Amino acid sequence: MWKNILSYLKENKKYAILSPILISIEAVGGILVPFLMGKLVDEGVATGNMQAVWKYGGYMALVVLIALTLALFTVRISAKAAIGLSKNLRQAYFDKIQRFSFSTIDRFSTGSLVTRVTTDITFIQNAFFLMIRIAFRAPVILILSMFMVFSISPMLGIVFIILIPSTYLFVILMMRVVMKFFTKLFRKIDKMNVRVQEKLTGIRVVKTFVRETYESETFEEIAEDVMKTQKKAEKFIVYLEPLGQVVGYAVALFAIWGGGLQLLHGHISAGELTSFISYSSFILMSSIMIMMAFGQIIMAYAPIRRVTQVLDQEPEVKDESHLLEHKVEKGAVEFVDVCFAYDAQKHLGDGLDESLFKKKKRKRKLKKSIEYKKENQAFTKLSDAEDEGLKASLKEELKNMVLENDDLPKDPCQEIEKEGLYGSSKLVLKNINLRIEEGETVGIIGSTGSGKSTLAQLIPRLYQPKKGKVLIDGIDVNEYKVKNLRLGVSMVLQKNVLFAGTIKENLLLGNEDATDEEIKDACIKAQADNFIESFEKGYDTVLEQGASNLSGGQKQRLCIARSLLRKPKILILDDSTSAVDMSTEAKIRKALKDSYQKTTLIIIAQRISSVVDADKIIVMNNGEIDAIGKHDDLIKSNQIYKDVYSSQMEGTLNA
Amino acid sequence: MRNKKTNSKRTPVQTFSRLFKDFKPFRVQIIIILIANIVFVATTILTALQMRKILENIFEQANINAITGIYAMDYTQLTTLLWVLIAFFVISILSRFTMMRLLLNVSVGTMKNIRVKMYNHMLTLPVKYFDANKTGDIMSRYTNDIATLRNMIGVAFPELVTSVLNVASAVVTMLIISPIFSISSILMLIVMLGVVVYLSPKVRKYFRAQQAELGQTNAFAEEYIKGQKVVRVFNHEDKVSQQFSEINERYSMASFKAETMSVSLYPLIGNLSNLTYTLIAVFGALLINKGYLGSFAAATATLLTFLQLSSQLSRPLVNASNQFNVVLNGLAGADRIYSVMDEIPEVDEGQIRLVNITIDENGKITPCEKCTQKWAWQKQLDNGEFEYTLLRGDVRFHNVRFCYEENQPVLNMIDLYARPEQKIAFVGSTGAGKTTIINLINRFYDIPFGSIKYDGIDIKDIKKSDLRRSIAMVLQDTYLFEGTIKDNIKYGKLDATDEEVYEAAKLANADDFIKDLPEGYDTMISATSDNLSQGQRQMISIARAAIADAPVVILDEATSSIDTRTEKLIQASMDKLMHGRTTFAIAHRLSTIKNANAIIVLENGEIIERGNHEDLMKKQGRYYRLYTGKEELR
Repeated sequence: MWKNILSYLKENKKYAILSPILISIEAVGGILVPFLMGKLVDEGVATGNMQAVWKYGGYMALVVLIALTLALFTVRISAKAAIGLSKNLRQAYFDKIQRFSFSTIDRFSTGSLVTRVTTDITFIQNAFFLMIRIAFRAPVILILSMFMVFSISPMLGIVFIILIPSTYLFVILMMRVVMKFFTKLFRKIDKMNVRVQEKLTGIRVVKTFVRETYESETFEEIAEDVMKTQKKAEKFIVYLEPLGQVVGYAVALFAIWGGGLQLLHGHISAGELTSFISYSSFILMSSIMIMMAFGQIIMAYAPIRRVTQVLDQEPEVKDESHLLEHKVEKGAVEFVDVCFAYDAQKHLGDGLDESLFKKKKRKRKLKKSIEYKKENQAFTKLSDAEDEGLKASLKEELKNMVLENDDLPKDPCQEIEKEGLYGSSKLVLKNINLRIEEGETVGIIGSTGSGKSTLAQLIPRLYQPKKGKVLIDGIDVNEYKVKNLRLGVSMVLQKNVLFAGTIKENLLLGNEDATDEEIKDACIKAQADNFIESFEKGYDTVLEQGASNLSGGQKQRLCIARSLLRKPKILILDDSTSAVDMSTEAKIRKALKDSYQKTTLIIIAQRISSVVDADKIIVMNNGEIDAIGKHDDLIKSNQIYKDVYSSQMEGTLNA
Repeated sequence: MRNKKTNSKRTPVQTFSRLFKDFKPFRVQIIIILIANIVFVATTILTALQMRKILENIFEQANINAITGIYAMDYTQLTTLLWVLIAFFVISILSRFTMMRLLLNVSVGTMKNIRVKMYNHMLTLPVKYFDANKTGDIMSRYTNDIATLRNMIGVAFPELVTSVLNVASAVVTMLIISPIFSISSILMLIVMLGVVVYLSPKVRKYFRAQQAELGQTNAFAEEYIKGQKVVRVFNHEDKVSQQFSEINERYSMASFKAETMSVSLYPLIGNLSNLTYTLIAVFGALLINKGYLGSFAAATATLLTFLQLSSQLSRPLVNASNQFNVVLNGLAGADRIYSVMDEIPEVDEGQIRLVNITIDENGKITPCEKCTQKWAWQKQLDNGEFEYTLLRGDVRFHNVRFCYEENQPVLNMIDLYARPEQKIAFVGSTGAGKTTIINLINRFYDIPFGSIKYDGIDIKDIKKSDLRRSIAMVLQDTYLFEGTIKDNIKYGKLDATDEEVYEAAKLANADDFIKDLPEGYDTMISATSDNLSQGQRQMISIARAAIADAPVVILDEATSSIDTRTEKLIQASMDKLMHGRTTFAIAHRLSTIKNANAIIVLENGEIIERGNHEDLMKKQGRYYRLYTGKEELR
């Protein structure tokens, strides 16, 4: 998994390679110090030779200074590598999300996507930083120290060879148990936080029903439970520390006792004992470091998985190389046998790990059942033929399992309704056939979930039909370059967003090259100019995040103006005037009709009044076109249309 | 809405002393921890001294052996020395273990107490507080701040104490063994300390800068990830990527500075420690050769011990400097937590209680426990007797004025009169004051001028919890909680039977769709889960209000996101809920309030029109214009 991530090093690759090398050299310097020390004791102190003392002392100082310079240099280099990595990763990540197809966006929750940009990538950066610094340094020190110990006394070295790996093993086993407890703990903390958040946002409900006492009692219980679980999990860490101490002391004891005996028997010199004691502590220290680095690298897997999950997403809408530069010229739309369903896999980001886990579990179960059957087989002594049959059926079963999990059905329109294939997802559009001529005004009416928005979103290729074709001017939308397609087809989304910045900046998003006159003109037509000019700073008024300083109707009018600036051939308004009053809405419609006669206008609406003048009204019901016609016809012939009309006319005297 | 940052005036010392009070339940454990820590440090000194003794013993014997050429050894003395050393080891391990284990109790326990305290306090805060502070901000006290606090109590504090004690113990040991020899070590210690003290504030400064850039990056990413669909529609990906790359670059630069500075500390101190090592070696050799350190054996042992001790000096130093930052962060977190706890809770000076009653033939009212569906306000008179007023649901506003912030009146001179079982509807633009009015009835906010009377009693004199129990509310945002549907409905009446739950659901027209769910009333839902539509959630919240069976109902209608058919269903269930109750309703679709006894049109905090539907239509004023679609509701 790290491999994928490391490909984002790019221009920092040289630093990433250089820093472990330099760090290893620095480590050698560190190793040399006790060695020189031993020499100093043996040749200088034992014999009272001051010259030797100065000589080895000088060497030592030199080594230390070189190591220091090297170390400070490598810190910069390794930081460059690690931060460069995270920078590139963050950019790639952000760019990828910006290019997500709509169906991919639906699968991730925005919250989790934002966390990944900062928290997860920072975690990866830190782990990588640690990796190139410690993951190389510590083993170098460990190996060299071992080598030095062996060269002093092989007998003493052997003890370490047994001692160190066994502690490793022990700690790893321990960690496995600890991880289990911690996962449980995190889940509980998560649940607790969800509860707090819920009650924070719903404080009015708590107060309305006077549930303060009830809430504090239940929370006390939850907090108590979290505390107990936390104690249980962290107890292991508490045990681990004194355990490390035990190992450390054992090493020290052994160094003194074993080393001392060797000295007493004249096998080693006093100086060698000195360096041996130092090397012992080096071995211990580097072992701990390796363990820690190892832990960090393992821990980074979860963030890496979350980030690569995003990076590996294919942008669904991909321009194929053979595409020509043709643009949308007229604006006629045709749907041919179109079927559509949303992918059921929701919130991929949070659910994937679990589903992977489940899949594994299921496979394990399957394996078990096969084994079980095999065992049974031995008892009942099936004939060979039957055995073959069983094998074949098992194979089939396995295949089905895999198919169920991994494969998409080939013909969604038929397969989709078979249970289980798409989970809870239903067919949103069923066999849609439709023609919209250029310059026509088309209204779409239907209840929530009837497929109105989905139908329209297929035109600018925000989603891809599962089956069938959408044609613009007789050409499949897939044959347009996305850029050209969306320049020709402009859609005002239902959940529209204005960004922090001035009104003008937001409008320019529609067309960067628009002149001030064009902007004003679009705003006049969208009935936005009046309120914009009423602001002190006019078009330079700064919008806050989420444009909270505008009313719903004002936001919608700005969004319409933004789309008008594109001068599209096809303009789609998805419930874009729901917060605008009827008379203003009528003015917008009139302005559109007068100034954009050649533009195909598709209006999705809740209110009948929004579509009453349309050339064509499409009534959607449960993913199907229930009827197409003019208002006057539908009001007579279509039951759904009649229902909607009558329910709305209650509140209005004249439509 | 009203962004007021609570700037605390506490100094870190004050925060600390406040924190100290929260340790009270763990006093005994903390004292034991301190004792254990002292024992631990003492054994560290003793261990070093003992090691030196053993080494001296070995070197002496080795010297003799070298001279005599006979490699024999006297075990008796050495074994005793070693056993003593092992004993020190055991004590050291035990004391450390005790310390860590108790520390876990203290840190986790304190966390829990603070968490519960904060939560309980939060529940008592006025609604105003939640308006002024974003949920995300308050949440971060529960998550981030508690985590940093935990880190401080559980890790940084003990580490800091141990580090300081370690340095102190090493210095003491050195001085015990050889005062002259200590000079070089202490000099180097001062140098290292100087480096740490010099660099630490810089590190902190760079980290702060990095944090600020991180905030920018986060904000940008969040805005554009949320608005990604729009970016896609306008082909604006490249431009946005370009902008992000600039922000990303700035963040990376800040991050680079901070990381380089902080990480440099390790090799810097590490190598300085190696330099100390060298210095000790040379200085030691000098002293030995001059004979200042006694015999060769004793001198070499001293030298070795010093070398070991010198490594004990550098690590705690780096550690202490890191932990110091954690402590500062932790104190800042604690400060933010305490500022929540210092928020003034809702005042409740009301004395009048709501009680269940029975009425006998003579009309005499006597209180009883859950005996009837009848309620009365119970007021204690000066002579100790009780006076009862029957609960009817008669609400009057008299000259009510209200403002959230001074000099910005939200409501001005409001007079209102709702007789029992009447339906009063409010119409007006966003900000006209509709929601404010209904929030005054159940005292989410208190009024500075004028009065609101409930069955003739000023609502200020009614105990808040009782006042609210008499009013059921259906809010625009449904706020369902995590749990089963049944749990959610029961929230309106905790001891409701299953039968009562079904009844309430039927009244809210919710029974049908709930039964259709695979797990029926036991279906799990949460604030964000998408297994229910907005309309269905609204119906559950109506059921929740219905089960509470209060004489007064407040309805904030669902918004336009619901289609006409679902809206009809919701309307029908709301109508059932309103039956026989005094109702205050905020209407977004005028068709739903036609049958109200009084329709009140608000504008800029004032009542501009009132009357029933027919009256207002005749008047041809604002209501008429709204109703005929000539004007827009904002």
